[in-house]
Order: sequence, then C-alpha cells, then structure tokens
Amino acid sequence: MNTKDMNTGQEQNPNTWVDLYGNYLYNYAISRVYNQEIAEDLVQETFLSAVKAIERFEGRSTVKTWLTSILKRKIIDYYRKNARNKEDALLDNDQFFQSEGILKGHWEDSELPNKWEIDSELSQNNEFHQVLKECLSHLPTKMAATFTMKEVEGYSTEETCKELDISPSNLWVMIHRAKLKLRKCIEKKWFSPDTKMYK
Amino acid sequence: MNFFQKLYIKTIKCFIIPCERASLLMTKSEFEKLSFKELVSMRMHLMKCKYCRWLLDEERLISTSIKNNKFQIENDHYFINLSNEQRDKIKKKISE
Repeated sequence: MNTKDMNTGQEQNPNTWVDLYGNYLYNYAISRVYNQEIAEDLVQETFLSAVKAIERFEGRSTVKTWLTSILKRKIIDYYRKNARNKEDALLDNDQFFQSEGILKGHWEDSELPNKWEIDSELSQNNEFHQVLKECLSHLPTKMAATFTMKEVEGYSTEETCKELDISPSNLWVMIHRAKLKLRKCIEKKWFSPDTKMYK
Repeated sequence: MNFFQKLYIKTIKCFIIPCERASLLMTKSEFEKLSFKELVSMRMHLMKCKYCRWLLDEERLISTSIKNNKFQIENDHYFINLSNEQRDKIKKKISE
C-alpha cells in the first residue's frame, strides 16, 4: 500500500477526522461566526452529521471538501436561526451621518474618518487580524451574517437575500453599516494613539 | 442665465450626492457593477470629499485583511488550535 492509499484509508475513517481536519474546520468556523464556543459547537455538529451521512459520501470530492460543505450549511443555519435577534436594534445605534438639516446625509462631526497610516504589510499582520475579528464579533448578528456571506463567503446577492430573508437594498445598507462600524472599531482599537497596538 | 447654463446646472445637480449615499455606493461597487449615474455620482463625490476617499482606502484594507485571513486558513495556517480537551469531547460525541 502506498502513502496515498494509506492517507485515503485514514481519511475515510471517522475516528481520524478530528485530528486531520479539526483545526481547519475550527478556524474556518471562527472566521465566520467570530465566537470560539459557537465555532466548536458547529464543528462538533459537522462531524456528527458527517458520521451519520458517511454512507452517502461517494468520494467525488475529498473528505475535507465534503466536511467543509457540511460546515458551510451549518453556519448558514446558525445565521438564519439568529437573524431575528431582538438585541440587534440596540447594538445598531451608531449615527454616522446627519439625519436632518442642510447637511443631511453628510458625516456627523464626531464620526468623520481620520486618515490611517497604512503599512503595506498590515493586511497580513496577525495581531491586526485579531483586532479585526474582535470588531467583527461586536457586530449585530444579522449584520455580521450578511457581511460574512458577501465579503467572506462570496455568495451572490440573490443567495444572501434568500438565505437571510432580506431585500437587496437592505443588504447593501447592512453591509455598508457593517463596514462603517468595523472601520470605527478598528480605528479605536488599532489606530488610536491611546491604544497599545498603535505602530 | 441662458437655457444651456440652466441645463448644465440641472445635470450637475443630478449627480451630487451626500457622503452617506457615496459611501454606500463605494460598498456596493466592491461587489457589483454600478449604473452609469451611480458611478459618476460616486466619482464626483470622491473628487471633492477627502473623508470619503480615506474611508475608501480604509475599507479596502479591511477587505484585503479578511481575504488574507481566509487564504491563510485555506492554506492550513491556523490562528488557533482545538485543545486536547475539545478534541476529546468531540471524539467522544462522535463515538456515542
């Protein structure tokens, strides 16, 4: 038996899945739900569903791809279940733009963006990723779900709207607000001269 | 003011949008092609508003960071690993 056959044999054995793919699926889930406990639950559910459905696995894709597709579905189900979170409205109370007067639609003075000193390597900085993840975890559930489905997963507008039961115009407003909130949070946690992370 | 001057002002006004609309179009343009009117309005706004230009750069950084993060995970570079306790818990559940 060559190494490839041995690996294939190992891959087909559910007892080895946690060691082979646990970390991958765990990181995959965290980068979409931004919470370690929820990610762990989703990974566990993924393995359980896969064990139950192993008879139906035809081997057309790798086990890793198959498990990822199950996890993707679990993540969307999680989004759908939590999309009607009543606390969302309370979390989304930022007023970035003026709502009345001659300057309606223009930046509120307190929310004017500052110019960031962007280092060319910053987008690959792990500490910056951690700050970004923390900021993502503070987004209201439905907003985070919409943002993640479009920005991280690359789902089409139609698919995202269908899964989350929102209109296309609502989708753009939510992604827009998600980005404004993320920008504000990152500015506070990374670029502010008061923060330790400031480079 | 003659007819052409009035028409010119009317046309320009048609493309003037506030920061809220411009920043929403900036977000939308990352994923979809904008209509001609949307594109011209956004570009005209960006020409005159430094805050929205900064916002555009900063939102691009956020998008690039998210893509890099995704790429790293896809290439098995993990930020956090399951603890032995977590692994054992999941294995136990699977074997039940």
